[in-house]
Amino acid sequence: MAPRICGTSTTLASLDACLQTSSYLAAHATRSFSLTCRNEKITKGRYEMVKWIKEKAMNNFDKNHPTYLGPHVDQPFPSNPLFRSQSVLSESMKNRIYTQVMDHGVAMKAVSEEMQVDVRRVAAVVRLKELENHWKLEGKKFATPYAKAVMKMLPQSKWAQGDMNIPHEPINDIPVHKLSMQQLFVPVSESRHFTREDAAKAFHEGLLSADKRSPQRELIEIERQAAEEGGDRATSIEEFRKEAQEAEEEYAAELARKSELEDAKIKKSRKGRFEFRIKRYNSETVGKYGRARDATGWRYGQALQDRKRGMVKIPTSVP
Amino acid sequence: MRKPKRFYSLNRPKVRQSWNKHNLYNLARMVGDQPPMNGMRTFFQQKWDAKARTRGYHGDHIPEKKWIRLFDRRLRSAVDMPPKYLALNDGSEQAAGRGSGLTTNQVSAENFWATAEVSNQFPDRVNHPRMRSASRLSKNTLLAQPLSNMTPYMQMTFAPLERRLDTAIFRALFASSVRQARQFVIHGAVKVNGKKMVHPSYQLNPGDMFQVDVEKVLYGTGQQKIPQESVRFKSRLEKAEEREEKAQAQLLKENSGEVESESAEEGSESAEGAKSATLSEDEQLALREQLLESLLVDVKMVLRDKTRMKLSAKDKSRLRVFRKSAAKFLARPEGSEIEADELIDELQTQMKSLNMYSYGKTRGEASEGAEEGEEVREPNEQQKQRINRALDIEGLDDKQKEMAIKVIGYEHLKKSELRNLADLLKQEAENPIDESKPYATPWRPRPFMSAFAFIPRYLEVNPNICAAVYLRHPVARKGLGEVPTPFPYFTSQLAHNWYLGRG
Repeated sequence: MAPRICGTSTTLASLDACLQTSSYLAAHATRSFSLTCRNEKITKGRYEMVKWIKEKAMNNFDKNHPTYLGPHVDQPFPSNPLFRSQSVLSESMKNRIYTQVMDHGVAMKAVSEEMQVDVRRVAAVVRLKELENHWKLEGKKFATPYAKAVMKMLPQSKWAQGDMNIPHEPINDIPVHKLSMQQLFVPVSESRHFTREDAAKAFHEGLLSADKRSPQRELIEIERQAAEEGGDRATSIEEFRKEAQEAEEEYAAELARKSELEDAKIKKSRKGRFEFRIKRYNSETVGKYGRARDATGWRYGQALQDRKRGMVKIPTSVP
Repeated sequence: MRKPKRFYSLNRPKVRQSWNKHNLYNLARMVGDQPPMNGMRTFFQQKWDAKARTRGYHGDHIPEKKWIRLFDRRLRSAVDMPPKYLALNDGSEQAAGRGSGLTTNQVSAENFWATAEVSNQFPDRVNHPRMRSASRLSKNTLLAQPLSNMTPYMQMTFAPLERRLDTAIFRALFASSVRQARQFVIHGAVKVNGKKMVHPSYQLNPGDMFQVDVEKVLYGTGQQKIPQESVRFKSRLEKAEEREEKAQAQLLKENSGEVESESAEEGSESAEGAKSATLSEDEQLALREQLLESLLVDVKMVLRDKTRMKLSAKDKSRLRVFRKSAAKFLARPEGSEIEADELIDELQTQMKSLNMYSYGKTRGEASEGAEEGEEVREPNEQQKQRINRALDIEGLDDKQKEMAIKVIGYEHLKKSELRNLADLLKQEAENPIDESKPYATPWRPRPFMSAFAFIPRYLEVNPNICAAVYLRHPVARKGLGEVPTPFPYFTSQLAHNWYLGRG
């Protein structure tokens, strides 16, 4: 779009350019009786923006693969090289994670170790896939065109069985503890064997060492066994998988038992459309004023505070 | 908070959380960059400026008071400690021998890292000339270089805002701006852990799953609807439907000599009903064949020039009309949806019963076979007549008719062609043209979306169902801050200093 000359909003230099490109002046000459100025004017800033978009952005950003502003290939914000667009799991990786966990019953920790994906991400992938399958059963419509377009625009991690794959993300991230963020000078004799354990103790008595705070503690043991003489990594990995599976099953059984116990405490009776659930409750546990934190419901004579001004009603968690 | 008057300014620009083209342009010309240090401004002025610029991007819709309450001086970070490193070293190697002046610090967790490193090579071409000067040896870049070897804690200043539901929706690419994401939440289109959540300021907890209504996401991220375009398409569709109706009516009229013309005008279906009593069985079969042939003319057009894989808008409108009239032909109740596979199956049985179905190869294969000695069957008079009549009804002149016959030929549809048709119908059903939608159909992503398309690692997104899980809080790690911010380290540092509130 060429700038329209109107008043003094353009400089003489840009006027030159306009004379060549704009047909407005010619059109204006034929309508010499019109003295009023065109209403739509374009400022220099806008002109430059439109020019940039037409020359650079139009061709560069409507592609079927990741394209960021740069200057680095994976850098979306030009002024911040410390933020990069990191790859997401490809559809095939997600499918494999789901089948491994749900169909083959492999423990999530084992899948995480095998595919080098964080355990929390493995769990989230399974949860989302499960929801997706539920939608399929219900016959709900997916956002397929959107998903296809988005996946084309994002860098993706690939994984193939048996290959030397580049890990998707570190699986043994250890969050930096608040207590260890201070600078500390501990005089130690040179002959002393000062380990991570000691360093943690130096910061605080209760602070655990990195080994103990690791989310994949068993893997450290495996690596230790493998490094020992006569150690075989493959067998210890196999053992780890078995143990992880057992631990997971145990945990699931424990959860089931707990919920069963909870259920047993509730007496249910069905009346037509309604189901009454009755649970024994000790009225002594509601506190001095009947407003203890975990006390139940509304009680006569006690005003509810939740409509009072300044009371925050935004939930802090959704179970 | 209300949207400021000049939200996307070109004179006094601010970077915003949005996919707008103004924002793209502002980002490209390094608006977020720290102004050159020349010692002319006081520390207070620098902090003020940094605060104002960063807040224009991070939660500009949140009142300052609320943000101050959210601000946390504790900045999260994480270190990747590979199990192998932890197994082989107990940490004593970091300090052993230091007292004797040895540097034994050569082994560290970093030596065991295996994840892909970020690229650090500058490309030859840049999107904006200002980016070139910034990417080379400017004062700010030189100062920032050692930062890539440390943990950029300051980039985590605005991390508490990333916990907010509306920001997370924007980061998961479900909305084109935070303000839009906020609106989605307020309008009740968002669920957290399966329950409706109407508070955009809800702080997500690690493990929370949020879902956004698919239609809202398609609206938010899709291209905007252009009124003229939809009018044009609508008129084209109406015309095509009208033509199809007329064609059917004409056929019926021709075939039922004794039935008065009025009944034909009333509509094809009633005419069919009225005349079925008067037509013999053979005539009825012939009529049905002709009806089907005229139905397939358009579809053949689409199928035969299917060298390109993408369907044009014209093709889509043809397929849509076909689907509608095919349902009518198969005597389905009006407005009932019919699956592509089912439709094709039924059509196939109809064609078999009418002897219109050829089991042979497709056209291309058939002509190859002809070279080997098989003769190509000349179309008989009846076929020619039939197709001519179908084209007549389409309202084509002689020249167009010639072209059309060249494209569609005289033969009936082959098995593989029917399969292709089913594929096409499915493709069309996946991303249909639908005037009732508030976005441009078929759905296309917003312009320049790919420049903004990234998903930070603290989210796991499933775009098929527009749901995502907030895995953990964002952290800083060596050379990488997980909070998506367009500002350099110094600006964030100044802003952080402002909110620390120490003079």
